[in-house]
Amino acid sequence: MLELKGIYKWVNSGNNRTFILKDINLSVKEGEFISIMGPSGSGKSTLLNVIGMLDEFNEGEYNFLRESVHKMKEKQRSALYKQYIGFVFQAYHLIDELTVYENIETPLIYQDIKSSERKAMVADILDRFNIVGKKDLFPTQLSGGQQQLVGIARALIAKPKLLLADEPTGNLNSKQGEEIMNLFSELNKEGVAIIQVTHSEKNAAYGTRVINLLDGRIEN
Amino acid sequence: MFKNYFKTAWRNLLHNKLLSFVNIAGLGVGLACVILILLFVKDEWSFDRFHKNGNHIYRLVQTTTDTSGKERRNGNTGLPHGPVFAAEIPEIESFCRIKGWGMTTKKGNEGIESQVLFADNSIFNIFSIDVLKGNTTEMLKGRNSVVLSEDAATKYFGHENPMGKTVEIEVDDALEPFVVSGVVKTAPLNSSIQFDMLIPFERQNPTDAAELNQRMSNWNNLFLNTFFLLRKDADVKAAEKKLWTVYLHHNAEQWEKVQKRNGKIKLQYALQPFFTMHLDKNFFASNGLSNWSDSTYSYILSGLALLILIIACINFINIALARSMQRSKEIGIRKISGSSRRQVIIQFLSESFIVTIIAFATALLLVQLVLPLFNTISHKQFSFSYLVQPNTIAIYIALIIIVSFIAGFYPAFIASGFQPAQTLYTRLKLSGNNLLGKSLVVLQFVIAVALIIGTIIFNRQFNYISNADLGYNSKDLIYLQFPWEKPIALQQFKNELAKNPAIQSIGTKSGNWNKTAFKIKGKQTDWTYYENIDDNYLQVLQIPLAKGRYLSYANVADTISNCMVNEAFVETFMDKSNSPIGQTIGWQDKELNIVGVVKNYHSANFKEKIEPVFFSLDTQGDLLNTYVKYFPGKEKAAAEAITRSYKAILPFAALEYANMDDWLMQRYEEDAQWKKIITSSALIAILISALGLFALTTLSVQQRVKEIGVRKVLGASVISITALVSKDFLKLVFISLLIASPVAWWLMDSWLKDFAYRINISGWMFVLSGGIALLIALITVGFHAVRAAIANPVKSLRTE
Repeated sequence: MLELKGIYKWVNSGNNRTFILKDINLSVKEGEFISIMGPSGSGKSTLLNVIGMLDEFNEGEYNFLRESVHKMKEKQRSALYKQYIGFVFQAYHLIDELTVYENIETPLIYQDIKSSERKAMVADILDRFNIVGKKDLFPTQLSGGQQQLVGIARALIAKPKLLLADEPTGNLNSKQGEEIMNLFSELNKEGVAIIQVTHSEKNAAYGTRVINLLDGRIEN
Repeated sequence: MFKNYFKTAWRNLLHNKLLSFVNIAGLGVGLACVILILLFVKDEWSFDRFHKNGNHIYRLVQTTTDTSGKERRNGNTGLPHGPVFAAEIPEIESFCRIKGWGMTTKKGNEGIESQVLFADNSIFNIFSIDVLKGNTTEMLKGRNSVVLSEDAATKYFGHENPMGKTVEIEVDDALEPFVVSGVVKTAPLNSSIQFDMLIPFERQNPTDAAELNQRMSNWNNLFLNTFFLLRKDADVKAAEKKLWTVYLHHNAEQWEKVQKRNGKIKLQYALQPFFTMHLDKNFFASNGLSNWSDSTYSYILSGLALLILIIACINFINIALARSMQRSKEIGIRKISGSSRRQVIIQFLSESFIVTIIAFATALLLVQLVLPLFNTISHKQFSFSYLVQPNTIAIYIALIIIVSFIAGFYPAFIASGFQPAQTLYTRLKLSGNNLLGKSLVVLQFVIAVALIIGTIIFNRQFNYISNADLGYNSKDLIYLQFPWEKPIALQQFKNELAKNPAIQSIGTKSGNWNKTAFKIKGKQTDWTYYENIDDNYLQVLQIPLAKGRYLSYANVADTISNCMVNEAFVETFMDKSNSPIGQTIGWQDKELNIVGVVKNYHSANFKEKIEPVFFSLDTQGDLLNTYVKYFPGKEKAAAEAITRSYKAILPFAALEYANMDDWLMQRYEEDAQWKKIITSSALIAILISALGLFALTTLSVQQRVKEIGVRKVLGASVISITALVSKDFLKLVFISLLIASPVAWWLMDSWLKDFAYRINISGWMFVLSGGIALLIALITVGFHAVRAAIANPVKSLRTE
């Protein structure tokens, strides 16, 4: 479903050019579950953001569903990820001023989905994640695991083909982490491709493929 | 989608109560100022607009230029101008002469003052006056008919039909019955032509045909307002040109004489559009016209209101900018959830829209609270209903949209540009070198500091003029105006009062600001003040002699051939190589000897230089300005005696008297008003600016909480951290001080130039203003700085 060819990303500081990503070649098929591993500063999150089209790269080609992302304007890119990609973060990143229900509903609003339809979709996912009782609470009233559930629910609500997760269990205890990972494999079985960044070997094992990153380069 | 935006906005408001309060309070006060001034300006510019013919009505005005090139503009004209111009200039359809003032009328046994206008019958055709009772063709006919305003009719006759009944009005020194021939609607408040009663213009003409003829040929006695209704297709410029031709045609001989005397003297007639009359400061609107104003008020007040609104908007912008850093996470989430940049902008704008609407509601409440106060300052009678007229509401909506756009757009523009990858991974530099925000704070404080400086200088000058030595003693004096042309009654009144033990002495003089031309050493002077006085006036006011002696009725020559002058007169006109005593002044075909010179004193206000004044002893007894000196501490007894004697002698005349000092202050009423306006603007400006600074420091401390924690752990003292946090803001206030001082100096210096006698602007005024601003800033900022400095660092560093 996506293919990265010779991706380079760097920053210039003074006369030195520091490479963040170096010659990344990667292709992901539909339904895959990939774990990206590597030490701090190896470029894991940057790679994820490049895939998610949140970050630019300096050189190389990126094709997503046979469209050339590197030739697109920002508007087209955002239209693309809006439709196909869901994001999950380590720090959950929920909007504090919105309730659980409203947080999950937000992407649907931006996709101009009718109110009645939105209601049904949010109700479905709340039900599935077993958080119906929490729908009127605000993020600060939830535990970390519950917040991450909401975060995943929000990422999934628009039915993406690809879920990008940046250390989704990083702030959770092991029991909560396990629940989230189980949820991921379930989703994967339903056909959602997942790319996750993780530090934990155990979590990486849930995936179908592991990519090791060191100093911006894929080590295999 | 908007529901979602409004929900977030609303919760944001509740979540940040302090910041919301600062925004809403600031914008509320700013908008309240704008609404009040809007009412004022709208009222000022709507004057007389209700007259349907208004676009074709003009007032005749004249400008004379004297030998020194000084222009004297006159809104008043004379008896012949109206009928003669109207008859000979085809563009003029009709004319109306109006004059009048407060006159004594009798209701039951009580004398009350009513605004009575002498007017030609054409007033009903030229102006839009709604007739309630009577036939306009029959009104203002004969010598003793009267038309009442609806209010006056109710006041005099209640619910009875007033038609055919009589009202007593004092004309020519006696109460005379006038028969009511009509009732018209009371003029609206925004009308220049205000009256309780209209009486025929002919009533003021003499009955003797020869005398009337003689008056009709006098073009120099200017005492009434002449209005022309021009034909709809008339060329105004052409008509204006013909005025001079017609004037010359009737005054050729006289004008030649004037020109022979001095070719520099000029006379110009012009047509002043009726709609501009109310705000035209060049030609006074009096003698039957009311509420004359000046467009400068509208401009300065609008300017002040705008400045205050700007200060409030800056608060909003700055808070929103600082908050947008904190909200960057939310923006990032919205963007990865599929929001476009435009949608983020719309979201921010809807938030500023909500705040503005709440601020606007607050403003309306505030306006209602301060409306009575505003009415007394502005001499208007606005009621709350003024606020909710359809066109005003349209302006409000425009105002809300404009303000929410101005306040919301820039932060929206900045915040919407955040890249989600940066905000969500806290790669965005939070502190930043927010140059715009800083400049805005500086701008705010420039306005506030300039207003404080203005307030200090204004108050100093005001104190100076109200406490300065006038050159005479205004203590223990009561001033009153005795009615005209009642010499016998006045003498009776003076005799009666002189018997009262509370009263020391009484002095009188004729009308104020009389001017005439003298002949000195064969040369004509320019128009110069002259005073007709009794032989006690100068002594009562304790105006000291510089040379010679006072005039006295005991010396018969003083009433025939002697006079006095002030030092300025000697300085300007007399031969300085000899003593002024004994030199002569030609006046009305007589040569008068100067027997005394008084020192200069301030008869006019401090805006005018002391001018030459000539004094002669009055022999007619018609001296209306009366000054009663009482023994110290006996003011009450003196006032009682005045009222008693006055009522006994003139039972129906209205009596108004005032303590001399109070009366003098009336001349500075306008300045006293400005003092109030500037002082309150300065207060509001500094208050809103301080609120803004308070909010900004709150945010800054929140953002720097980690830095402060680290510094404390490393051993920084409370004082050094307080200084760290305060320094940046105090620096901004200091910069604004540097900018505001020259600006304020320049503005106030040009204002002071209005005064012939004025204070010097000195350095301490700027130092004091700066001190006030810095102190306020220090208190506002220091509050947070200290709190941040004494906070426990463990808390701020513990979690991320």
